[in-house]
Amino acid sequence: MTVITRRPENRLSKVIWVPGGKTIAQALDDAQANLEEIRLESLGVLRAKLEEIQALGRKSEKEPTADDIQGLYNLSSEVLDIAGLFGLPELGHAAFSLCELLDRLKSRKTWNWPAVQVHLHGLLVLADPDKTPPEGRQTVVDGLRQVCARVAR
Amino acid sequence: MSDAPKGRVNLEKAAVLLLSPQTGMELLVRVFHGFGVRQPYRCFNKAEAMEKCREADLDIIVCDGSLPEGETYDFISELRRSDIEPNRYVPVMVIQGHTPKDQIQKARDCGANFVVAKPITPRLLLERILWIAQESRPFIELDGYVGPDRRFQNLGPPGGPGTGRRRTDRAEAAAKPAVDPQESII
Repeated sequence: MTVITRRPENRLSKVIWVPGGKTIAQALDDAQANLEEIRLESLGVLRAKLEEIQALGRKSEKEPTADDIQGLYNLSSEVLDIAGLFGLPELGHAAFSLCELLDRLKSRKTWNWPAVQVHLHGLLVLADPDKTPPEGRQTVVDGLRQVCARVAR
Repeated sequence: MSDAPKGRVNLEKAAVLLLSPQTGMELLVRVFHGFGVRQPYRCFNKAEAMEKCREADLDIIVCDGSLPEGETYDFISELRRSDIEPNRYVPVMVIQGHTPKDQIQKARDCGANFVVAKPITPRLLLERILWIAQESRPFIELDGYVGPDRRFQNLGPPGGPGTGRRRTDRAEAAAKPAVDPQESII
């Protein structure tokens, strides 16, 4: 087996330390400010995705098609995209857990509605973080992870 | 580590390629504009990204792992095995949501420099960019893998604890907990 080792220059390092630019703190503030401009719009999208998940979830209670499961997976993945950037990390973790659960169920060609349903409830709780204290939100996430691990081990 | 990050970063002239589905692109572009990147190249699929790699010399590629059918990993793998110089060596960061089981091996072997798990924040993203900018891993070409050497210890960012030559530097590193890849350090 031939192994070729090269040491290419790191082009990023050539530009990133050039004098000028902005302080790291300013860069972070500017990035956050740019996101804040679309916060309401993004949270609206997030709510719409969550409603779609709930609707598709109810439809999927019995014998969902492969498309239904993939649809739930895709929606959950989109929730994960948005949630963390707008201060809803626990919602992101719950969406990740639902993705993992659906992927496991799909690969085992089985279905477990109660496990999916508890995730859907969890998403609803975590979508409104003001109503649940931080430790409560973490408990919900931990519970969903346990359900996922137990159901499709 | 202080809450107020120190130092400067200059991404005004950085050539950044973003590969993401439509839903995540707007968010990524806004974050990178905030970091100072003027005009990131926006690509929505593998074909567009490969074309841009042939056209422009890039400084970093940031990919969302959620393109359908593992297209993100196919793109990185194809770029690494291509003859597109110097872009085949460009640092590639993958922002990873959930990876379906049938894509895990592809994701592991595609040749990315770094994987950041969602949910992400601007802080985490910039921290990883700074980390990649300080990276000096060799580039390896094998039959089954082309990309940065994967044999490295996760001791934190280059220049961080444990990288000094003094014995006390290593002792300091040993006393610190292992680095959580999702933990912010800036």
